[in-house]
Amino acid sequence: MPKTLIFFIFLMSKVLMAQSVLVTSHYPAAALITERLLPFSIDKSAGLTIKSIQLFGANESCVSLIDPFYPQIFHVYCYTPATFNLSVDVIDGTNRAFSLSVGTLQVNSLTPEIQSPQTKPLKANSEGEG
Amino acid sequence: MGTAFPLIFLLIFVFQNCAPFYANDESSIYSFRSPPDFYYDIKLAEVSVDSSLRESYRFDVAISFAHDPNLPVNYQLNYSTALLNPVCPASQGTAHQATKHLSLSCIIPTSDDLYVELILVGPNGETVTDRFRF
Repeated sequence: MPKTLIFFIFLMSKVLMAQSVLVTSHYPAAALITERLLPFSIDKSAGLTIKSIQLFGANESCVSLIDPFYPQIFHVYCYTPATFNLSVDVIDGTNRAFSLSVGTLQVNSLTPEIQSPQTKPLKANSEGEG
Repeated sequence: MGTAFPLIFLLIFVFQNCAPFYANDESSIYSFRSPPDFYYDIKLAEVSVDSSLRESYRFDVAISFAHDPNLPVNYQLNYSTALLNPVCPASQGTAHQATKHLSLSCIIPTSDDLYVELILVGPNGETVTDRFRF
């Protein structure tokens, strides 16, 4: 078998694997608002670990982080409304790296015309995002 | 004089390095100190006062089961004043798929702070209770 064909099959297997992995938003699209921690999960059964998250077009509006407790969960947090493309770099059990393109996400402000007073969690060690 | 410049430079250099260093503020976004069973958030979406001086609160709530976003979570929100007097009927139901995003309202007769107690129960009996003041 020619080496180019083997390489092509290898490349396609990675593409197909990337296409078959689901990235699920924990919240419905309407709940994606500013100043809210927005969790996303990659398919746990795929045995993948998130290495980095790319937010293309978000500029300084949003930040992302990998959940410190769950390697298949990452979060996006936007300070201001933003529309951006989300891509997740993952590795599989054999340390092969590939990228999952999630698509375009839109994060809106809650109700811009109404000023929201600050939430004040009662417990100092509250686990809430409050 | 020849040794003064290096000494001053060294002092300035040392002083600069005594400044506190903040890597980033992303850790403050994530408030969980142990593996959470749920992700949730309550935001005050609207507050208004009617002609009878009653305050109307509307909340935007998002709830999800951390271990599997496709599984349902039972929720209950209890509303009370600072003296723990209930002021509105509790909001309760199951957060699943589209209902993981809720718009909930409570009208209170006085211009007092509103306390909200959120109770979540997961599919395997996981429970968390959190309280907020608005």
